[in-house]
Amino acid sequence: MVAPAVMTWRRIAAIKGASFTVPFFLGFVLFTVVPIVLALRESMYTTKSSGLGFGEKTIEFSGLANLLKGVGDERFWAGMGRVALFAAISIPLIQVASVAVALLLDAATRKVAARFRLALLIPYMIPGIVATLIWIYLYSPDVGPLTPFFALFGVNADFYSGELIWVSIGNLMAWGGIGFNMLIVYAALQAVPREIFEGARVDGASELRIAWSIKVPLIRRSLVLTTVLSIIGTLQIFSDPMLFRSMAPETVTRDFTPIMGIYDWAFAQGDFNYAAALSIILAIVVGLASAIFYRFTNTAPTS
Amino acid sequence: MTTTLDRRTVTASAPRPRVAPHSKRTKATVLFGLIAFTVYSVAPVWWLIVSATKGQSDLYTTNGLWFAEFRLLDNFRELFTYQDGIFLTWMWNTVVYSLAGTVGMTLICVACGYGLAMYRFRGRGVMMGCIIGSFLVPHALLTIPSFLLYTDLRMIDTPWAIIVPSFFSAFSVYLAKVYAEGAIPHELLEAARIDGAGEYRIFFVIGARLMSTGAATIFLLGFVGSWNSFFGPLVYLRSQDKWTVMLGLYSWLKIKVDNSTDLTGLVVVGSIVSLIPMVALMVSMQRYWRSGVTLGSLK
Amino acid sequence: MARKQLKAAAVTILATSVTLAGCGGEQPAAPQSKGPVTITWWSWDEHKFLDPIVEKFNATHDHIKLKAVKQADLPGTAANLRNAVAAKQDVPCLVKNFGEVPGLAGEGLLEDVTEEFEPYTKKGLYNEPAYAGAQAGGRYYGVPSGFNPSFMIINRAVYDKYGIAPPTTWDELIAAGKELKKYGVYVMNLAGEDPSTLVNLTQQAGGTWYKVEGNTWKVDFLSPESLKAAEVIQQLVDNDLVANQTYQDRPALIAYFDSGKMVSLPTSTWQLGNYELNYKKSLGDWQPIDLPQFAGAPTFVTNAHGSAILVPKGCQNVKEAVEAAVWMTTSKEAVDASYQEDTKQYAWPGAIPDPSPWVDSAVPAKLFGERRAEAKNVILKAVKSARDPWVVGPNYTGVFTELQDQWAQIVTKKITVREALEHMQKFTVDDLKAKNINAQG
Repeated sequence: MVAPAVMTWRRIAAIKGASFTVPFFLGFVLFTVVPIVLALRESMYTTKSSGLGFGEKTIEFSGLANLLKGVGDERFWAGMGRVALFAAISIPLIQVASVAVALLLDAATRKVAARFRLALLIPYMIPGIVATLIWIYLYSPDVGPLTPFFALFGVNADFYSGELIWVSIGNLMAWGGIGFNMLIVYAALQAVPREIFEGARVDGASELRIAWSIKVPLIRRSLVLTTVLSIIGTLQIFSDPMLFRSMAPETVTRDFTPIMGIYDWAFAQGDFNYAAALSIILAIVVGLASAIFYRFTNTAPTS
Repeated sequence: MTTTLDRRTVTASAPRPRVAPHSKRTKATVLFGLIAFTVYSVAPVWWLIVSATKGQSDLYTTNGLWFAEFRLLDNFRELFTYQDGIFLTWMWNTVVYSLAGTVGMTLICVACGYGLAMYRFRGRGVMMGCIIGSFLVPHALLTIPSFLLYTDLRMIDTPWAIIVPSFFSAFSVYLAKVYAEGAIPHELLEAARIDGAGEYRIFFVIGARLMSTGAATIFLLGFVGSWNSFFGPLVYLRSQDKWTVMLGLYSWLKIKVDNSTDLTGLVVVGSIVSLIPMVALMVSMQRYWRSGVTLGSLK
Repeated sequence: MARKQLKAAAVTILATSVTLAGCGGEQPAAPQSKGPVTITWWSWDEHKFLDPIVEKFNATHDHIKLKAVKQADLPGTAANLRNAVAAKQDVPCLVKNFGEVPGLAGEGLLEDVTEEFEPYTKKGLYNEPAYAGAQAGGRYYGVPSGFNPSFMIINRAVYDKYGIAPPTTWDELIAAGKELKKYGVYVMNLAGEDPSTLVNLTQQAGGTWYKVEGNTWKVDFLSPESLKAAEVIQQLVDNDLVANQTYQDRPALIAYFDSGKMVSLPTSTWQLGNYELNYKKSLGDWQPIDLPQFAGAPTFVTNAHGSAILVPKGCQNVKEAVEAAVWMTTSKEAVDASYQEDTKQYAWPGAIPDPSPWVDSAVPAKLFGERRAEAKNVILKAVKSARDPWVVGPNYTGVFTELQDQWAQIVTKKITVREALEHMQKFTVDDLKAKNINAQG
């Protein structure tokens, strides 16, 4: 039993605590929830033309018809499968690399860390359009340096070809993404009180052991966060494959990834309702993938 | 410098014996690893630097990895005089939008993350559900509805359309919550309460200070994100003199697609110039990664 | 528990949606103001191209004022116009074309301006083939802005080096390609992402993939003209006569074209300045020649599908918008105002019957070397021989992305052109029917 006085004291604290979240949630509802709801509504309607297709269109309520059509859309699911496979391979690699960089920085002396930190963050600061410009050149089998470089080792690497397309996309994502993940993980590492490691060091544990057994578990929440963001980002991948649509168009079709398919439906095929339905399906799949990952790592995201 | 000293006095009470990695081999491994990653990160930028020194006619036809006729100064002159110096207008706009948006965002989101991490109240779970749910939604879906909403709010073609929505970043809230959980021990808050401190006072005196590394990271991520974003400006800003630098560079890059002009040279120089504020910000915020305030210092 | 929370989130969202469903309102139309009408014009051209035209227009007109709003690029313009039309507020009255008029009209983005534009068609202001580009289903949804004449430029130095005569027919071009192949030179480039060569050849053969019959679309990707075009492409691909350089990799593209390993480019006036600017080694080696013809064609024909200045749905002053657009596309004042000091070029006046006063400025100084004088006749001949039989339907935007996918399969020899056309036939008819549009074929 808790004394009534303590009850009210706790209550007031909780209400004050909740008040910290009020400004955010007012804005969040207006700028995020409202557009989502408006978009969800779109998926429940169907737009029909008539005659030659230039007159006014009729909009009918069609309930879940669009969603059901999307569930049976083979080309959409083919894109999903492609991206899921890519995510399964690329995310662990990028995550491991990001954590490794963060741990290296954390293990280095302060002076050394300061010297490298900025350089490591440069790719993250470079805007996407410029990164694209750079890598188009580097990948170019005709004028770029990478193809001749790999030829030195007897490897015939054409980064524009359909076979290497995922390697090219993966590297582009890694180059731009490692800095971002590293920053989040590194900040979490730095927030950990130092005394915790010193004891282990005094006991003679190696740096590698300290990193693996003490540091990594302490920053697990941040790792889970960056991984989930990567899962979401990778399943919704759009601009990188869109670029390679020009380089390897025989491989990268208009619905190569789920979001490319959604864009094509909305803005080329002109069926915004169906595109909205596909977006919902994609959001559900992404949500399930994230939930499974959370379950797997035993960290409930909402607690 | 003085601020650095301030901070040091805070930490001084708990001397932090920063033991260097003990064996030489560890040290070498760490250094080698860092160098390898740095080369991977920075080497591709070489092309950008070399290209910035070339005139348009050398840009495509000479070796991309080595210099041709040195035209860097001409390129700068052209960048800053093109269309009456519109590039500088874009830079200034971006500074204003990004700073205003990110400062507001950091305040609102750090407070919200702190509230979610440190208190148990009704509806908290639903809030977290909404935040995580919003990550999952593909943004393609929201373009038209958001535009209709902004139209009703009379925000189209005003800076508010860029600044205000950026205040409410679900991702930053989540990040703030994660950092708060890692950095602020509940016992500390309990102790402060027993001392009679109010909840808001606790936040400003203890919470905000303990979260400074996290908040700085949130600010930085937010600033870089907002500096480099161009989709919002593309859709919500109409007049060119309100554009951001990324949108401007993007339009310069795309000009050549169906036009007889090619401004790729300007894009290369412009993108290097546009990095300067971000680099400056990162350098000025280095001290926040000096590692967090240690617990001992606050007790 | 994550599941419970997500469910809770879903319930909240649904609850809010019910309240919101009632309040999606319409914006009241802006009241008509007195005095001069302001016409807003969206284009992604640079201000240095837009401003002189706007100034000239405003200096010569009292009752209409033109205002240019610069857009970032083509896809950005498309996104912004879709939004503005959906919001029914601040809709611009003139927009630079970002697609095919029928596709955009089919999407519901354009205003039918037939009534306002028809009077101008009787004044002889326009070149006859320019009209079709502004029409959809026989109605006008914009003001014709004309076409760029089609011709070819060849790297004459390389042709001469191997003793090959410039091609006058597509068959000769194929023969030249077979000869050049021996020396490791490609006769043409077919970018894997761009099916426009197939479209252009079909137009030149006098064909079209859509036709209106009564109130029904007749779709025919397998017409004799279309198959004639297909045959040329098939030969080029099967005999490995063409390069497949992408436009995206611009350094490689330019370096490649400049290197003499790819020697013929079907092109048009607006691209010449770009070659002049970026080519180095091959400047002066190029020669403008007439577009190759189909063997046995009775008359000389070039493909010329026109474009339009669009009038979006929701424009408040259609009559004035049309008047301004007609001025921009046909008046001598407007063409003269488009002069650029630095490049010494005018915008190509593609809509008017006789562009000869401005031809000379369209030809850059160095690209053709001493053959520069030939360009004028080649260009004017292309304008005079232009035909536009091309009609597309309301679903062409989507059909085109599917065609891109098919085209990539063609150039990589995964399927034949005929197979691609058969697929397109079925895709197009099915798609029209799915949208409840009358179609057969």
